[in-house]
This record gives sequence, structure tokens and C-alpha cells, in this order.
Amino acid sequence: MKYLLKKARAVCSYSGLDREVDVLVEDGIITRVEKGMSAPKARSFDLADKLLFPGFIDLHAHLREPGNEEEETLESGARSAVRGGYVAIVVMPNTMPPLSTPFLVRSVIEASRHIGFAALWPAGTLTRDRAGEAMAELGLMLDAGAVGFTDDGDSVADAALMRAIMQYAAHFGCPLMLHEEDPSLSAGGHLHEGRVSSELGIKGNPSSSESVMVARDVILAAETGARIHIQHVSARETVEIVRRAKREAIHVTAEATPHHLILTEDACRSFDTNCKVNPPLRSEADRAALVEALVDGTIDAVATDHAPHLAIEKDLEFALAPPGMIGLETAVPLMYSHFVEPGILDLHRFCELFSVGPAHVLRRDPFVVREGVRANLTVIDPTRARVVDPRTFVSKSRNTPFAGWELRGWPTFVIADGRLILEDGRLVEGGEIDG
Amino acid sequence: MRHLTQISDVSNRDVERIFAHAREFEAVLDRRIKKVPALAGRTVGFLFIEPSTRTRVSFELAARRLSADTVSLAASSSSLKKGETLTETAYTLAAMNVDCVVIRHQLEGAATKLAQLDLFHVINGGDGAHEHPTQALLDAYCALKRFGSLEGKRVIIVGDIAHSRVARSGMQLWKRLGADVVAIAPDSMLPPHLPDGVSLAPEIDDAIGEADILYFLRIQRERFTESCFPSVAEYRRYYALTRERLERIPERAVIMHPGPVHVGVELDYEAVHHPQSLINDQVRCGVAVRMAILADFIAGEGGGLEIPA
Repeated sequence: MKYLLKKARAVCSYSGLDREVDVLVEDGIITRVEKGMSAPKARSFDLADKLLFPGFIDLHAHLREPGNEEEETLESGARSAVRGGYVAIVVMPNTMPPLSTPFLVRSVIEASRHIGFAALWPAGTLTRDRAGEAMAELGLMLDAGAVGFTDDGDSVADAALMRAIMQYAAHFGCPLMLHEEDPSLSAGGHLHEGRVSSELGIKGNPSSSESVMVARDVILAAETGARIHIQHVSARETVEIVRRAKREAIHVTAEATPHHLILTEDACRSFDTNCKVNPPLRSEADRAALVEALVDGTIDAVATDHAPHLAIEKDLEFALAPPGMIGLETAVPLMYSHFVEPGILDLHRFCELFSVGPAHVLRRDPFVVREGVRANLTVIDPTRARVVDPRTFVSKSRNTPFAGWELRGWPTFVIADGRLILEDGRLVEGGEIDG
Repeated sequence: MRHLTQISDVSNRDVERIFAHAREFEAVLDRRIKKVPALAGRTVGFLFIEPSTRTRVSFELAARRLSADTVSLAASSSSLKKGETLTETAYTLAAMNVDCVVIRHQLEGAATKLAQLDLFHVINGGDGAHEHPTQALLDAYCALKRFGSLEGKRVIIVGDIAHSRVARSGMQLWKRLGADVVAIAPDSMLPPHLPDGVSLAPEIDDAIGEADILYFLRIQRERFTESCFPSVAEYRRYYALTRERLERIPERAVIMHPGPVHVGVELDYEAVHHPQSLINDQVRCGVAVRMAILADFIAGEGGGLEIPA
């Protein structure tokens, strides 16, 4: 199969490309990148006014399978990701049972191959069974295809265990992806400890519950040489620690979510449980610090922390509702509308945050828009506005606080590993597998 | 539909009107037949997920003295224990045409959640550490009876402000009625942010001499385990109205407490029964103010009533 993507503005921060070109994909390979091409036998798409990037990667998605398939499955997650513009997503291992064995890691990879939408890249647990007590079989899971390790949802509270894992894993090269939260400081907290928690009387989760752990782990990473990746940074103190660590050439990377970059604790004032997330939405000062870090490179990637929950789980008193919101189908247009349109991020930085940055975090070769490589491409439409309507989501869950928001930058085309899987905003069923 | 989930749900004009009605109801409560027909034919439901005796009795008396029918769902007797959610309970009560629900709940936002469904009038009888607006209203009413006006009066609120729904509603209302509000507590018992205009005094002994209203909060014993303070003895030394401190309170000052008092913890016996203590009058005012609130919210701004002379 041949595809000719015509007239899009192609932006590839890795190769430095930024101009209107035509891109020809033949048998899954980008064969030509040049202006004014014609390829008679190719399916041709007019992408005038569209933006074409190397394929987007999400570092942080919870797909709930095995164990909670009512909320999301590997398949619904893989489809939801494509709708959101992603060619690959890192699947968090806090399932039931957790992805803590090479067998389970391999089974996600095989399922992904079978499902055929966005690639599912499994992260294994850091600790055995995600219990925080002993090291998991990191090497065997790595051999099975794990792209990183995390106990996401919980931190590794035991400093000696964390240090031992870092020492053992230092030579692996793949990232230890860390959910940073001192459980003794965050215990019982349901939102950011600050102005809104003061008003509502709900016990807060202080910023220090995150920053204390980040400080610990940065020190341990410096000591052991391990590569650590700080998940869903929420507090300005964390930003400062990460920025300083990077300056000192410690191997640390960091991600931020659209919700921490756009919303603050104020969103919780009406007890909206869709705004209950962990780490919590913090203050405006925290948000501003995150945005600064996004611009200056302290934050390497935008990640969704896509966390599906059913309506019945969220329709509860604030303290009883589980934390988390979904994000795969809104992250790209949210970031485009709130950061590119107002001129806070240019398209190169946008490309870094969604594609090159996540690949760098995972120590993988980045996707590029260049002749001779397998096609992994994401096309978005910067012109057409659409309102977020959870009823149209491909995800099995609807827990988003962004319903009703008018956004631009919706994904229209995705080619993943050479296959066209999103066409004009619609999933391509039946998998035209070739190449 | 009007709801009272937090003190900001009532304007100062609402407060004035409610207090005017409360004065009339107080007179009713002195009669031999303590009942008016204001809410005859209306139904008030009590949804007390968190157990409470005083607030519940006060509300029940208020509703019955307005001739309302009352139904009660306690956590132990309802399906809530069996896993029914608050939302389902609300729809059930609405299907039975309950006009108003008074809810007491151990979790913040429960009353707001009911009110957001907008199925019946919701009165918050206390939700976790969030708000307790009827307590704030009855406290202000009680103090107003004594002082005539709260303009420029100094209220000192002493104790576990961080975890107190009474303080959270009270601080706002005292401020709005013109009082000067001072919080006295260790930082471990203060929220990260106090409401605008509320000041902080480090020492109760310095503040006591300038106070008009000495408002003491109940100390929850579980706060020991949360390490908010080390011991009762230490708490008493710095924050209780002890016999010794009682000697130094101004003559004009009144002692208030939302009850039930831990006698010998936040207040000594002598303070509870002191001639300047308003604690029993607060309970008495509670019924009249809650009558006025129920009448106002259910029957409308006029209270729907011609009170028979």
C-alpha cells in the first residue's frame, strides 16, 4: 500500500524539518519527503493546513487489563490512543495481577500485536507484585520487552530497596519511572493541601509528599548512576529539584500531564470528583512553575496518566471516589489549544514533548520524518474547533473534567509502524496490514 | 431550589430575615403548646450518616414544632450500610416526595453533592470538616441577642480550627456580621489558609483580655493520633479555658462552645457553668433558628407562615 500525504506542514524537531512537504509512504517505509510530488498509484490525502509530526508517544496510560476490564481493556485503550493521536503508549503495570512477571509483559506485547492499533509498550513493576518489598525480575522483564519499570500508583517507600533497585538496574539503560509520594505525608489526603483544602475542610496532600521523595531519589540516582524518570510532576519544588539535577548531569527526566499544566486546585472547589487525581491538582504557583519547566526543557514529555474509572466509582463523596481522569483522547488538543495557540510553546517544542521527548525518556530511537525509516506519523488539524464530548470517546470510561471545552488541534491521521490506523479522525478498522 | 450547604449560600439579608423569624419562634417555644402550622403537610427527611444526638434532636424538634412530618434514615438503619450510594438514596427520598433533607455526614461535600442533584431542599447538618452552617447561624443569633450588634466585637476562636466545620462556617459569618475574628491554635491545628480578614493570635492569655466572645472548639480525641498536639495536659496549658484563665476574662465577655463539651479538656466545669456562659442558650436558640431556617427554605422567604398570636 502506498500513501501520499500532501501539503501538510511537517515539523520534526529531531531532523530539524519544518516546511510544507509531501510525504510518500510505501510498504510502511517513508520513501520520499519532498514538495509537489505525484504518485499515481498511492492513496493521496490532501493535508493542506494540517500539521504533520513524527508519531506521538504517551509515557503513561492505565489500561486496567487484566483485572478491571469494565473500565478499560488493552484493546479499548489501544484504540483510544489512536483516536488521541498516539502511535504508541506505555502501559502502566498496576493491573490485577500487576505486570510483574516476564510472562505478563510478553502477553501485553502479544496482545498489542494482535489488536493492531497503537503499540502497547508495557512497563513492568519495580518491585515484586508491586508490593514495595522486594525487587521484581527486572532483567527477565526487560528481555521480555518491558520498556521501563514503575510501581506507578505508589512510590517505593523503602529507601534501601529503592537504592538497591537503582544499583541493580543502573546498567540497563531503561528508565525507572517513579511515582513520587511519601505515603506518610500524603496519607488521608484527597486534594492539594492549600487554599481549597482549607476552604473545603478536606485533608490535603502537601506538595512536600512529592518533593521529599523526588529529592531522595535524585540523590540516590546521583549515587548509583541509575536513570530515573519522574512521573506526573505536580509541585514547583519538584521542578526546582529536577532542574538542578539536570544541571548537575544526573540521569533524570520528567513528565507532566495536561491536567496539571492546565487545571489547579480551584477545579476541586465544587467537589468535582473528576478533578480528583493523584498527585492532586495543585496551586496556580505550582502550575505556573510546571509551564515554565515545560518551556525550558526541565519537563521532557507530556504524559496523560490516562486513568479510567466508571461513573459509579466517581459518583461518590469526594473522599470516597478513586483518583484519576482519562486523557488519551484529549491530551493533544488540550496542549495545542492551551499552549501552542497562545504562543507559549512553538511547534518544535510541541513535537519534542509528544514524540522526541518520550522516546528520549525511554532511551529509544526517536520517530523521525525522514526518508528510509518506518512511518510513524501523527497529523493534527490546527484549524477546526470541536467541543470535547465524552460520549464520542473510544475509551470505555468517561471520567474527564474537560467535557464541553472547545479545542483545536484534534488528531486526524495516524500512521503507526507503517499502517494507516486513523483516517480523517476515524479509526481504520480491519487493519490493512502490510509492509 | 434553595439549599443551605455552606454559609455563603445565605446573604446578609437572608440572615436578617431568618433571625427575625427565629425571634418569633423563640416566643412560640415559651408557650405551653409549642407548635405552629407553618410546614403542615410538608415532609422533612433526616439523613444522618454520621451519628449525632444533639443536632438531630434539635432539627427534629424544629421540624415537628413547625408541624412537618419527619422521616429518619440513620446510617445503621438504611441501605447505605449495604453499599447504596448517596446518589441512590437521594433519588429514593425524592421518589417519596420528601420536601427537604437535613444531612449529617462524616465526609466533606456530601451535602453539596445532594444539593447538586437538586431533588429537594438540602440543609447541611454538618459535613465532615467542611461546614456546619446552621451552627454558625444559631451561634451568631445567640450572640446577637446578647450584644445587639456584632459590629466591632472581637470573637476569639480557640482550638482545632483545621478540622472544625463549626469554625469554617463560623469564621465567615462572624466576619460578615462585622465582628473582628481572631484564631488561636497551634499551626498543627490551623488550615494552610485562614479566610480573608481572620487574624491569628499566638497566645490565648494575651487575647483573652480583649475578647467579647470566647468561642472554644471541641477537641477530637483522635487528633492525638494525628499528632496535632502531644497531650491533654499540654493542650490545656496553652488553649483551654481553665479556672485560672476564667479569672481574667472581661466582664462583658461571653463563653460559647458548639457542644458537646469535653468538660475538663477545652473548658473547665466552672467555665461551662459560669454566669457568662451562653452554652445552654446556644442549644435553646438552636431550635428556634433551625425552625426559621426550615421555614425559610421550604416555605419560602416569608416562611410561609402567619404565626398565630
